[in-house]
Amino acid sequence: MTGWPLFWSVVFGVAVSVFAFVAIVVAIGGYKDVKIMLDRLKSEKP
Amino acid sequence: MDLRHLALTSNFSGFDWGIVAFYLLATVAIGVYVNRYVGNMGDYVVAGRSLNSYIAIATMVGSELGLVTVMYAAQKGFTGGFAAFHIGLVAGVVTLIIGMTGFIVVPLRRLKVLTIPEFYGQRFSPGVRILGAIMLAVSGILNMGLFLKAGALFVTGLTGLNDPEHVKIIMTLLIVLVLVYTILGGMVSVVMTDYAQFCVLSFGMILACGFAIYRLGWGHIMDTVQEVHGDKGFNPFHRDGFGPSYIVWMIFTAGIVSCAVWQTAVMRACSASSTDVVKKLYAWSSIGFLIRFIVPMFLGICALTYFSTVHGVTEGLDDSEATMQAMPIFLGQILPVGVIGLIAAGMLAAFMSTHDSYLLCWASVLAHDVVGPIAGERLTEQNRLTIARAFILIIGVFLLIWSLWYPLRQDLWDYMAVTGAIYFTGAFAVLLFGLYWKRASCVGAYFALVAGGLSVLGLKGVQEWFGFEQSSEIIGLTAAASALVLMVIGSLIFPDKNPKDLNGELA
Repeated sequence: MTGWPLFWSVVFGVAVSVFAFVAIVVAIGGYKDVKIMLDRLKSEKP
Repeated sequence: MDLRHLALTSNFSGFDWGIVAFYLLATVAIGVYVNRYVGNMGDYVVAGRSLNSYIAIATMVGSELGLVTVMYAAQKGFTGGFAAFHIGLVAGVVTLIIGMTGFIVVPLRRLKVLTIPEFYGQRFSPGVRILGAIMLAVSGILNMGLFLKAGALFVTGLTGLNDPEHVKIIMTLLIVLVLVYTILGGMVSVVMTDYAQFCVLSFGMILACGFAIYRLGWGHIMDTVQEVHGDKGFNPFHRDGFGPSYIVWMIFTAGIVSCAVWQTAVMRACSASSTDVVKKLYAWSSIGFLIRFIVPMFLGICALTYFSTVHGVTEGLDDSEATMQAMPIFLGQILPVGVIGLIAAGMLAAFMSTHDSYLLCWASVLAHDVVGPIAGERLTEQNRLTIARAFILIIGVFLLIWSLWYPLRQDLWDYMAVTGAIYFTGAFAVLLFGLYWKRASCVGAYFALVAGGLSVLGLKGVQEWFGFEQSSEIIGLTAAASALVLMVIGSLIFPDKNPKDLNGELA
């Protein structure tokens, strides 16, 4: 495999691997952020 | 065999329906629950600007990785092969550059505007704000006009439902669910559901790719694309394929506009708790902007491989509706029970998530930037919330009607790029010069917005009406260039008598 087919294979492989890593990090971090957001809105509500 | 006459067989079972029902009901319950936290328009539209980095990234990607995105990207992969990947690559790289530089989005966040037309009002005049808001809302509502149709094709393809009446009932039910929790919870419920959808869909899509590669084989997929599309299936610059003008159009639409000019993405920047979070949000989301195109495109390519080799399909490969439905039919036939339910739940949640973001966005623009400036101080916060909720309901009804009768004559992605261009070609010029050029004037802004509206000529239906034919990218690029030139000419010839200086707020 050479040229464009090789290029798109590498792009696809790298993109999916990096995204899988980012998705795990964001899923864990996002759970904590949801709790912070709700606490903040709750405390600001008159 | 003809792609348009494929039998809709599927592995979708009662167990899968159970997964879908549980997921959707849980989503609505969350929307109803968080309603108690919504106190004013700021909470409703931008979640009180309380989003930290991770949840901001999840909601940005969750909202942009919708069912419609998956459908149009898969269709592009089916019709364009691996060469279509250039759209995702461009989107990812440009979003990363925006994240590193803060181009457009950081100044907007500093100004603390809720919407882009509000910036027009601060920088130019109430008239520019109202015109910009109307163009934005019309363009945005037309843009989401075929979401329901795409959703219906997905449901029929994935589940194997053959009765059109069942599909209509399901789609009506979905839009009602979306309306309920968006009207009640606003941005807070949108954020919560986007987060859930981000988790389910991110891992579900990667799983689906794994199944597809395991079933078809990487080498076989490559060989089929070469056989069906030839070199243009890999080389995006190929003159018989996408070509250079299409790539430039994509740098503008899928790149700059998608992340820095399109109101739904900018709303995420405006919801962030600080400008540092905005930059981090865009830098991290760049991989999401890349993936939201590349993964569904790959599934579209797999669908092409599957139907070409397993079913021997050679006809109907250019039919808009058939090519859009190919990916869900393919998934319905290769995924096992349980996994297919999870994917369906994630996709339908994605469908609802995009709808809620878009409904909220366009209704907020109409309430905040059209009704608000016209009514002046007479409107209370509660009045504005009620008006925004009423607009959501009206837009929802319009979408049901529009999806039923508008015939799609081009790829869904191209339809969306053209309808979006009615707003964003002019808006880009107004934002660019309004933020970075002191001499930009109200007349220049009016000229640019009106010039951008010429993009409507890119719609195939409009071209048939006027009796001419031109590619949508040429029309879009011409409108964008005209808007930029007219913005400069209008500002130089008709400068503002009392130019507004936003440097204090932008510092």
